Amino acid sequence: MKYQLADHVSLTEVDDEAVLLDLNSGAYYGLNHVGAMLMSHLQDQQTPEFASTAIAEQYQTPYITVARDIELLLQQLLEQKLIVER
Amino acid sequence: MSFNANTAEEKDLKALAGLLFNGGQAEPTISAKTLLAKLEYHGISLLAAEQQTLPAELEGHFAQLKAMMVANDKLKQIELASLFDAFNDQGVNAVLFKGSALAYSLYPKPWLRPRSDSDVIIAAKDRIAADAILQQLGYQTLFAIQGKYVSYQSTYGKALAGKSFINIDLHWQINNRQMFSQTFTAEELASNGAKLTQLAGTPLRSSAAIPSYVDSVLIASVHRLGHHHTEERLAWLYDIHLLVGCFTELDWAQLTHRAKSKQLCAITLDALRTAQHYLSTELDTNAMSQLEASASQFEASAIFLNRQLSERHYFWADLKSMPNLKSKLGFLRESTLPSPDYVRQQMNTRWASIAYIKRLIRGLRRVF
Repeated sequence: MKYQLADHVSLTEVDDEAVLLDLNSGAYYGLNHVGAMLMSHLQDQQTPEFASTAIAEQYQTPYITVARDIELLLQQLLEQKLIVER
Repeated sequence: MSFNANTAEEKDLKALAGLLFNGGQAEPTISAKTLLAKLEYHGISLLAAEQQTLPAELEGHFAQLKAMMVANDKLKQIELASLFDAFNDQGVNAVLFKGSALAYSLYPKPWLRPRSDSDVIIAAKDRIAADAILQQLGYQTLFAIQGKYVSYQSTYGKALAGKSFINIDLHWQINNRQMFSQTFTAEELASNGAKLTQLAGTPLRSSAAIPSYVDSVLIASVHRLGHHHTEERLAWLYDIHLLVGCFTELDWAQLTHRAKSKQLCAITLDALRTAQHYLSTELDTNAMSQLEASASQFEASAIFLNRQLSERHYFWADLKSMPNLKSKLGFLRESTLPSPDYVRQQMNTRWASIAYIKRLIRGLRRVF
């Protein structure tokens, strides 16, 4: 499964972090470095699994831990309608 | 209260300015709350946070503030891009200047340059067209003084998504002070300046004109003393610091040439020296010598170097600057007898006659 930003959402990279903005409601969400990396991979049309592998390697953290965190984050982003399936 | 830094204020400003550079450190005796209030007042909160010179306990606050400013700025970028596209579509030549222009052309990230409004200058002939465009885009007039001589700007506002709001200060002359009102026209700024085809990544269908860095230094110098002679804010000095930091030899030559031709040498010199004093701004020796030489001759605008003068001095300076008798009389009439709507709003009363009396008493107190 691949995801992309919803049409009404803007992503601004800020140093190694990012801010997601819902242009309709004005609600915004700060993403930490891992969240920003995930969004960057999704923008590059990569799967969450690919992103998890890359982040796990960079942080030298077990894949399963990263994958679980990313799944949770994706779930929240989907619930807030900030991302949609590609 | 006029701004005239005493030793304590001077020390305070220096200490705050130090936070804008690597290695700066907040005074340990100052509370986090006081420090935040000072940074906020000077418009340098996120600039200082960017340099990591602030106490670690404030990190959470600044992470939230940064996300908010980034989001807010994005909404404003989109709105400004639409506005300038509409101006271009309707043939209105508008120039974005002051804070917003600098945020999108000079600062590495636009949210590092806080601003409460976006200043736009147009030719006086385009006022009706610009007003129609703003109304069409959903703006409301927030503040406008009726009169030909007392004000050259109107403020428009529009609610954006969430709790965001954008204010546009629409100018048809660059400054409300008569002495500075004709310092630059929109046409001159546009022809010396540049065109932005995007605002921090938000594309425009056409472009937004902005002043050159040289003209921006002159505008900043005029704004600092002509409009805010009772205060010294580090954000405005930091603008000047960054602007001249980008100067080439040719820019310095142009700055001295334009400052001389516009009779702004003394106030420009003062702005540059103050930036150097607080921010260690590097200045061009030759240009400074030329400005010093010209500033020693009479310039009417040098009156603004004295930050202790009362309002009546500025009033007379404004009156003297009017080009002919007709405009002097018009300025006097509009200053003493503004429109009933304005005076009711200014004096916070629904009765125009009472408002005029209150205004007269206040005016007499200021003059005598």
